[in-house]
Amino acid sequence: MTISKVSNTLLLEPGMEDMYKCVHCGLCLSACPTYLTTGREMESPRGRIALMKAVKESRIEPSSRVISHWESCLQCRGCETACPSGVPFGFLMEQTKAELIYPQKTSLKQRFLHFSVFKLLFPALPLLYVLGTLVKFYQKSGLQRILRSRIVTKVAPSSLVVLENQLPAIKGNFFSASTKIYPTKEKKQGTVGLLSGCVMPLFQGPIMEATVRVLNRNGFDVVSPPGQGCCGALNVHAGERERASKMAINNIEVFLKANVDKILTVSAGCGSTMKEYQNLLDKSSSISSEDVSTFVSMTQDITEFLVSIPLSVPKTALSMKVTYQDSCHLAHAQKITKAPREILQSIPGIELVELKDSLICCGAAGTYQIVQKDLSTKLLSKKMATIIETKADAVVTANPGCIIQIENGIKQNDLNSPVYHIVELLDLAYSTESKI
Amino acid sequence: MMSENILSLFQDFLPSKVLKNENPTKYFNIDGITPHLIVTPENIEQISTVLRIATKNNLSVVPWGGGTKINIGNYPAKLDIVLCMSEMDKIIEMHPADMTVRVQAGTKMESIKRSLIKEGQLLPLTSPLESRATIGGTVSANVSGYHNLIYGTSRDLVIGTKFVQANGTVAKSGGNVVKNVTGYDLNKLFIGAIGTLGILAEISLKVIPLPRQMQTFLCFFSSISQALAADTQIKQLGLSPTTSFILDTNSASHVDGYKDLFQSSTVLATELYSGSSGMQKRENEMVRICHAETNSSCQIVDSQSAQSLWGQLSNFGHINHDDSALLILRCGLRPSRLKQAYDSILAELSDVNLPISAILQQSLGLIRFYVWSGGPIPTPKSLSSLITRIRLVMNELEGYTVVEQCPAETKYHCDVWGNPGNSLNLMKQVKAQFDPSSILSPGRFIGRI
Amino acid sequence: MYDEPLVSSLKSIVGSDFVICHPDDLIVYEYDGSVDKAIPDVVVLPETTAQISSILSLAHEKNIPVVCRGAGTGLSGGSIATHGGVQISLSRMTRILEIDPLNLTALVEPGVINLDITKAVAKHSLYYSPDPSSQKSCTIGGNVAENAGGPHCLKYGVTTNHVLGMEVVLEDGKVVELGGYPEAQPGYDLRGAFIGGEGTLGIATKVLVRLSRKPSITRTFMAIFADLDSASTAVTQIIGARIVPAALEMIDALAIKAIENARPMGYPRDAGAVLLIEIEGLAEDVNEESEAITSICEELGVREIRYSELAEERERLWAGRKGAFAALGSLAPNYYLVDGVVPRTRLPDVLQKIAKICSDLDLPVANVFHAGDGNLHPLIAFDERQPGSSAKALQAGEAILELCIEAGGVLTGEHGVGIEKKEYMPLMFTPDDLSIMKAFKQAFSPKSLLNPGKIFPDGKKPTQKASIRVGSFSTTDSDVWI
Repeated sequence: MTISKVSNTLLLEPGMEDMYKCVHCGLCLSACPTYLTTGREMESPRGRIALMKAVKESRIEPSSRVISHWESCLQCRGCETACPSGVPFGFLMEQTKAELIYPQKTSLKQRFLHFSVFKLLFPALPLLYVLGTLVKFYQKSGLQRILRSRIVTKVAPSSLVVLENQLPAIKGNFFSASTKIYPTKEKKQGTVGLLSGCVMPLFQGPIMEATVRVLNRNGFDVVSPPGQGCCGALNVHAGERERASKMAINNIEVFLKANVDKILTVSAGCGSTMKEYQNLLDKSSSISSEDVSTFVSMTQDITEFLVSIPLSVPKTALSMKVTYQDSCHLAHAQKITKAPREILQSIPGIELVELKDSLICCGAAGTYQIVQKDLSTKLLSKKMATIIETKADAVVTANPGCIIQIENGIKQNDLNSPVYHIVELLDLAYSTESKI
Repeated sequence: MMSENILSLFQDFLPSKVLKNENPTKYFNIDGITPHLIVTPENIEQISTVLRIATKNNLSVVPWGGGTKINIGNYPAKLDIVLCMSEMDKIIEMHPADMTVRVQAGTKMESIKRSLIKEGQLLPLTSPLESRATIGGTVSANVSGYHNLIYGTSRDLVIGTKFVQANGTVAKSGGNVVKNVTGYDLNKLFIGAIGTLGILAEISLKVIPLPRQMQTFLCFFSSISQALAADTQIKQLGLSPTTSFILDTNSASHVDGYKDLFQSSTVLATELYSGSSGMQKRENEMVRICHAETNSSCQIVDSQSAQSLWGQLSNFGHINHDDSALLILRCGLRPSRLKQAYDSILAELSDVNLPISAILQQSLGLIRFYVWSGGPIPTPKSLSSLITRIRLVMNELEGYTVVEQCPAETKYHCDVWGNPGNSLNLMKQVKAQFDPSSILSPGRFIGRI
Repeated sequence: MYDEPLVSSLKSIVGSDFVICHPDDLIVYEYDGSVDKAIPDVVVLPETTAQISSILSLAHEKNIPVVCRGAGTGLSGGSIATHGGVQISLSRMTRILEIDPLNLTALVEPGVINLDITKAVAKHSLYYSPDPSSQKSCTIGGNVAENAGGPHCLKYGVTTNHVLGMEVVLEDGKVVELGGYPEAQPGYDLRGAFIGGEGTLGIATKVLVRLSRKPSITRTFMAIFADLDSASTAVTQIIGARIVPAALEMIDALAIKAIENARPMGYPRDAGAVLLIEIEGLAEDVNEESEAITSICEELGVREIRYSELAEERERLWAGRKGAFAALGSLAPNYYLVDGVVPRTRLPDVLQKIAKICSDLDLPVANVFHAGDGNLHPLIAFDERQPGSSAKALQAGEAILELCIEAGGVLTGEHGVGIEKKEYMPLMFTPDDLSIMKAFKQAFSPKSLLNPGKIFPDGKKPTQKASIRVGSFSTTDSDVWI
C-alpha cells in the first residue's frame, strides 16, 4: 500500500499522537449516539480513532468510505466524558476533518454548502443578516404558506423541501452587537460582555434579550461589543481551522478591549470553542499567548456564571414540570452538568424530571441535521420518545441548536410543549415577580 | 455376571478390606435393587482403580454417601457396584481466615459443620440426617436445606472439585479461592447430577461467618394468600430471612411437637438473621406485619426448638423419617403463580382419597406436595397418572414437577424428573463425553440418562 | 479471504445493511479491550435469534469459524477472530424483553448494557448486582461469556450467581434453553457450565437475570493505615468479626503516592495502605457493624477513618480508588495490568514477593485490589520506548502468575483466559484436567467452530506485545475500576 500524501500530513500534525492514548477499552461506546443508533463499530469513537490510526499507519487509504465514518460523527464529545484515558477526541476529530475531509470535498453540493456556510456566511456576519432578514420576510409575509402548498412541494426537489421544513422560525427581533450598554437597575456587581455570535442573534433574538434582562436583574451591566463575529465553532468542527483562527483572533481583540469582567455566551457550542482557542492558535499566530489565555479564563457559559455569582432567586413561583436535555458542548466539552440543574431547581415551583439519556445528543450538532439527515432524524426520534416519557410541560436546554432540533421534534410529534433556553425560563420567573 | 466373578475382578488390585460382596440388601438397596459388590475405597487411587476395571468389564457403579437421598432419581437400569464413600471422610484443609474448606466427598455434613463452628463459621447447606449425609451426596443431590435465601445453594458455594471419570482418570475443576474464572466451570455439572458424570472425590467450598444472631418466628394466618403477602413484606422490608416456609393447614399434624400449636392455621415459619441490635427492630416489624395481615400475632421460637423444627421441615415426610409420605412432589414455578398452582393442584388431587398437605417456599418458587398414607394405597399406575395430570397443570403455569419420593414400583411407570425440555440432547452428549459406556448410575437421571 | 457466496448468503439472512465486508470497515473489528488483534472475514449484525440460528447453520455447513462480540470491552482477547471467519456483533440485540418486579427477574437480549438493566429496574428499587468495571459499556452477553465480576461480588457473587437461564444457539444452529426459572431445574446445570465458557460453547441470545433489592442503607468507610500489615490484619479481623462487607478494597503505598502526586486526596504521603470498606443493610445492623469496624481499625492504630452513607460523599471516599488507575500514570507511560487470585490470607506475603519480582527487574509496581476476595491487580509500570522494557514487564507478569498458583491461587479472577492466558493453563491444570474440559466442549461444539483459539494452550504464543494488556496512562480523572 502506498503512503498517501494526506496521511503523511496527518502523521505530522502536532497533537495527533494523542490518538495512541486510546487503549480501545470501549467505555466510550455507550456514550456515542451514532454507535447506539447503528450498532456499527465504525460509527463509534473507538472505531473512528482506529480508522485514524490505520490511515496514519498507512494500513488503509482515507477512502470516501472511511471518511463517511468520520463525517457521521456528531462531535458531541460524549465520548470524552466517558473516556478513562483522557483521549482528546474532539480535537482529534477536528484535526482529522481539517487534514483529510475538508481537502477532499468532492461533490458539488457539499462544496457549495461548505463554501456558502463556512467561507461566506459565518465569517462575514452582515451577509448572514441579509439572509436572515430574507428568511424572516419569507416566514412572516405568507410566502412560506404559499410555498408549502402541495403544488409547490410537488415540483420542488425533495431535498429542498426537507431543508425548508427544518428552517427554524425566526422569533422576535435580531439582536446585534453594538456600542450600547444595557445597564442594571439593581446594585451594580460588575460588567459582563456577551457574545452575540452568529446564529443566536438572528434566530433566537428573544433569548439574547432574556439573557440581558437576567444579567441586569442580577446586578450586571451588559455589553455586546461591536466588531465581534462568529466564534468559529462550525468552521472548527468542519475542519476549517485556518479561517476559524482568524475569527478567534478578532474576537479576542474585540473583547479584551471592551473592559468587561467576564465574557459570557448563551450558546454552549460557542463557549466550548472559545474555551479551546488555545488549541486553535499556535505560537505563529499574530496574537500573544497571554491574550489568548486571558480571554479563555474570562470566558464562561451563562449557567456557569449565574451559579457562581450567586444567583438571585426569583421571588415568585413558576408552577411547571420541566425536563432538561444536556447540551453536548456544555456537558461534554465544558463538563457543566450541575449548574443548569441548580438554576432550574432554584426557581420556586419548578419540578425537574430527569430525562433518560439526557447526556446523549439530540442529533442537532450544528450542520449535522442537514448533512446527516438520516442519522439526525433517528437520534431525534429516540430523543423525543424519552422526552414524551417524562410527561414534562416544557423542555429546557442550553444551546440554540438543541432548541431548534427539539422544536422540530415537538412539531413532528404534534405536541405543543415549549422548548426553552434555560435563561428564558429564568427570565420568565423574574418577569412574573415584577408584576406583583 | 455373578457376584463372585465380579469380586474376583477386583481382588488383585484392591485390598480385601475395601471389598464386600455379602448380601447387602438391608442397607445398600436402591428402589429394591441390590448391588453385587460394595467397594469402600480409602483414597482417590482406589476409586480410579474401581472405575477403570468397571469400565473395562462394563459394570455399572453407583456412588453412595450417607444413603439419605439415594432414592431420588429413576430406578437404576443396572446396579453392579456400590461405591461407598464412607472411608473418604477427611477434612483436607480448612482456612478459616479465607473462609474456604476442602474436604473429601465422603465427609459427613455434621463433621464439617462441627469443625467450622469452632471457627465461628457455617456451611449453609442442610441435609436431612446430617450425622449420615455426606457433602458429596448433598452436592450430588443438590440438597440445599433451609438457609438458601441468603447464602444460596451448592451452585453458589462449591468452588472446586476433584473427580474421577468413568475411565478412571482423575481431573479437577475450579480451585480453592472464592473468585475464579480459569477454564470451564465444570463444578456446576456435578451439582445435582446424582453421580452420573463422575465420582466426586474432593470438594472445595466457600463458607460463611456464623450469623451473629438468628431468630425463628412463627406466624399464624387463616389463608395461604395472607401468609404469602406477609412473606413478601418480610423480604421487601429487608429483614433478611435466611429461610421461609409456609405450611398449609393439613401439614400441622405431621410436625412433631407443634401439632396443637399449628392446628387449623396456615403457618409461616421464618428465620431472620441480624446483628445483635437489629433483632429488636425485626421483632417489631414481624409483629406489625402479622397484625396488619390478620390481626394475629407472631411467636418467637427458642433456638433449640427452632433447630428441631427446621430439622423436621427440611426432612419433611422423608423416607427416613418416622412419618414418611407416600409421594413427595416438588413443583417449581414463578413465585407470583404459587397460589394459582397450589389451588389447581389441590383440585387435581381431590379425588385421591388420601391425606394431602403442602409446604410453600415463595422466594424459591417452590411448592412441595405430600401425599400421606392413611387409606387404600393407589396402584403404581394410578399414582403415575396422577403425576401426569399434575405435570399438565404445571406445564400450563410454565413450571416443572419432580417426584422426590414415591413407591419404587411407581418409577417403572414414569420418569421422576419430568419433561427434560429441549436441552435433553445436549445433556445426553455431555453424558456421552464424560461416561461413554454409561456405567455411572445408568438410567437414574433425567430422560433415563 | 472474501467469500462472495458466503457474504451474499449472510446478506439474505440479515439484510445487506447489516453485513460488513469491506476491508476499510473490517479493520475496526480487529480489536477488543485487550491488545490482541485479528481481522474477521465478515461481520454480521443480526437482530433475532432466528437470524443467528441461520448464520450458525450456514457456518456449520461451510465449516467457517464464528466469533461473537458484545461491546468489545474484554481484557483477554475473548472476542478476537484469531481464525478469521464470521464475527457476529450483538450490538443490535439491545432490547429488554421483560421486567418482572414480582419475581425479581428481567429477560434481556445479549447486547443489553450491564448498567442499563439497573437503570431500567431502578424505579422498582431493584438492581442487577454484578458490576464489572466496564459496566457502563459492556453487555450482558459478554458478561455471561466471561462470568464477569466486579468490586461488589465479595458479598453478592459474580455473573453465574445472578443469571438464571438463557436461550442459546448451538454450533449447528439449534436453539436450546439452559436453566430457567426457578432454580434447581431438573437436569444438569448446563447454565452454570455455559457461563464463563468464553463464547466457545454457543451464543446466548436471551438471558434471564436475577434482580436484587436495594439495601436500605449503604455506608462507605475509608481507613488510612501506616503500613500494609495492619491494614491486612484489619481485613482479617473484620471478617473474623463475622462481617462480610459488600466491598473491601485496598490501595498500597506506591499507589497512594501516585494518587497524591496526580490528584491529592489528603492521604498522608507516608501512609502504607488505604482500605475502603462498604457495608449495607438495615440501619441497626449497619450501625452495629460500623462500630465493630471502627474499633478494629482503631485498635490497629488506624491513622484516620472517614465514613458516610450519603451518595455524594461516598463517591468522594471512593474517588481515590477510582482515580488510582489514571494517577499511576505518573510512574511511567505504559502499564501491564495483571489479574490473578490468591487465598486472601496469602496477600501480604504475595504482595511482598510481587514487589521483589518487580524491583529485581527494575519495574515500579502498584497494587490496587479486591482485598476481600484475594483478587490481585498488580499494575506494572514501564516505558515501551525503552528497548526490552515490554519484555521485562511480560516476564514480571508471568512470574506473578506463577506466584499466584504457588500460593494456592488461580490464573484469572475476572478477566478470563482468552488468548492472553491460554499458554499458562498448564500451570494450573494437568493434561487430564484440560482434556475433560475439551470433552465438555465437544458436547456443545463438535466441530470446534465457535471462538477457536481460546482458553486451551495450542503452543501459539502470541507476539510479546500483543499478549499483554498494555496501555498508556492518562492524566485526566478516571472512572475505571481495576
